[in-house]
Amino acid sequence: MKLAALVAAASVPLLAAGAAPARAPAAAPETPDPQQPKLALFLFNLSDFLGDVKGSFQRVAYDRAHAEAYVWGGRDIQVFGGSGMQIYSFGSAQGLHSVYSIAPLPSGDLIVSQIGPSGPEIVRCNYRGEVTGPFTPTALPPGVTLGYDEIRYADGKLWFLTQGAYRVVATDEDGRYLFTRDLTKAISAGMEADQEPDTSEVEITGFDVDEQGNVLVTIAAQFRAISVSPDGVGHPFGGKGSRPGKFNVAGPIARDERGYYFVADTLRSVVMVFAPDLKFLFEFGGRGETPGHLVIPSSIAVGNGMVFVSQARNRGVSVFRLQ
Amino acid sequence: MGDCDGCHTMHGKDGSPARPFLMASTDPSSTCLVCHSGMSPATGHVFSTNVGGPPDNYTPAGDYAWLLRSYTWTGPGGGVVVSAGERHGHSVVAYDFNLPSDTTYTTAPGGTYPSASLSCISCHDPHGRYRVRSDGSFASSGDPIVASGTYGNNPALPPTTQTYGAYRLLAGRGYQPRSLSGALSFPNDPPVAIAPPAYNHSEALTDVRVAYGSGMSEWCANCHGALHTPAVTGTSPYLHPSGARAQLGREASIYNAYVRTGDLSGTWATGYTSMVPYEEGTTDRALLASHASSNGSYRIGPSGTENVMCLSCHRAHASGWDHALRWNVGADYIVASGQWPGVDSVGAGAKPEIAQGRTRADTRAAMYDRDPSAYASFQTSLCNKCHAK
Repeated sequence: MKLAALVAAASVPLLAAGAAPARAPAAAPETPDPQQPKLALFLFNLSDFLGDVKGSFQRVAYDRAHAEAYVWGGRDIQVFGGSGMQIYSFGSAQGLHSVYSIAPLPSGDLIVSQIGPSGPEIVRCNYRGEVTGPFTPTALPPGVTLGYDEIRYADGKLWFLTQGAYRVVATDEDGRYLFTRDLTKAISAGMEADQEPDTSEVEITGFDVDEQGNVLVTIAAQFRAISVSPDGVGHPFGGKGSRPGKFNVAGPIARDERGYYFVADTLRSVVMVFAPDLKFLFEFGGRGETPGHLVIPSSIAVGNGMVFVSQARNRGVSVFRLQ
Repeated sequence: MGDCDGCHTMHGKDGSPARPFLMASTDPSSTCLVCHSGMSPATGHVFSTNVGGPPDNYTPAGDYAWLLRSYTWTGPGGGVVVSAGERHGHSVVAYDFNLPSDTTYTTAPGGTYPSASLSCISCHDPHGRYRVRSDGSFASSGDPIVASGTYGNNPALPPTTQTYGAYRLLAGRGYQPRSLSGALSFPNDPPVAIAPPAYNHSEALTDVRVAYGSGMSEWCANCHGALHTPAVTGTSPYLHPSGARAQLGREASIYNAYVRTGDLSGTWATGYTSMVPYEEGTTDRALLASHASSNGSYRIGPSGTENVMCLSCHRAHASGWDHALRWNVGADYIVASGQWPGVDSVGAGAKPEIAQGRTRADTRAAMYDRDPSAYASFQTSLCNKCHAK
């Protein structure tokens, strides 16, 4: 990937090749939301009885149905309740290894990808975190495999991202193959005509899936976020810049159940909030040591009006409430 | 190369005071790593933030996340032996990434560069001023840089009115970060080397071959001069030869023949291994470009005129082993019972003095994802690649 192509991708009108102009993703609310958030109030850091739980570059998932946050950064996974206190932990004692991603299911089961003794694997755990067996996909077409880099449960499906292939595979909760979403076209939209994105250079930095089945990615090298609707069309937003609404280094992304997007800029250490129509609303955090500030936000989870942000510098996970 | 505001901020943010040199992050290395780190391996990543598993960036220079992996085990006498994270590489200071300055060395071994000031910009010129001119010489100003000099995808040398960037933005003669006080400027220019464009991937199937040409060890001597081969033989305690005066010579035939412990059936045509690279002793960038590869297309070994270099045994950033060595020289075996050593291994590989606190996954990652079958069932040190007896 030539730098010129990357810059071009970020600066041209953000259109998919041959596609309609960028528009709000499918199923976005059409009327103004009277409860539209205007700020994010810092509440606390996730804690245990000894105080703030420290950690760097932890990953966080939020189970909206049970109002529980899962935080992990290795073999041990911590579960936090609605008050931000740790209520449970599991991991190596339950047979887990180096965990990459966790997707909580409505049933309470967990789908976990990890690096086991013999390489990457995906396993199913019960609500106690005990490994109950491998997660074995069925009816996969030839050549299709489940990615283990990121797993999400959304829109009643499990979504598996293969980082190096711009591909998301969806299955049902039992592992039955449903479809593959190729992100290549959406990611290459706006790039020079003869340029195909080089997956080794144009890395998917942030990933999420919303309840309408839109796949959300950020591409730091392109300075933008993209919402890829079920029809495969990409809706990019952001763009290169240091001011609010733009990205210096686009990081993790998430979308809440009301349709609001949350995208971190890891350089400025802020989380930006975008409306369902992709219009920038406000940002919060900002680099700093004091409560409410952030240092390199590395993972975001949202739901029930809460935003969970993990950070670098051993700062753990900060929790904000939308107002 | 990014824009200015990729690294600097003009007035501070959100009321926080502007930092020295208007850095956007806490310190220079933390600023670099915002872009050059990630959960997954990717081009340009030198620090894995996947804190659970072993570092998984398989770049030739290595993954700085090894600095955060410390291992302990019980030694033969019953005492605890430690392989401290800070011993695994250059202890660059990056506070946002939990990388403090080295607690053992206050200055560079073999030199006076202060450890507390060691950062990415100690070696890499963040503004990329060092450039290769049309005659192959280096300069820090002058004709514009029109292309990277790291990869061989351009004509070997630029036209007279243009220049290429130095290999990996490495700094050269006269360089000293503005944040560093004292008289510590580099006496030597960057090395001549060419890397393949795809350089961060598992070496389970094919090696990543950086074609080192010349000047690598001399460049390391900018900070580690006293560890370098003395100008006059015998004027310092014995040091392993490296650099332009350290040709492989007769060791080249051993290098080519050595495949693994007990197997000396190798040939010149396929003798190369990226676990023990060498310097070709040339400044011919076109030749080097034809040798740099990551798909196994060029595996020819040395003929004897090549040089041993610091990077023959060490990785430039970090590795899974003490002293940033490419393999573990502190154990009798680097493969035992046909397995990577590890606390979860079976048989000899699980012995504390062999596993050394690592898991098999740690060891495999430190060996760049190679399968243990690449070596003998009881494989000894890769010192034997040149010195097999």
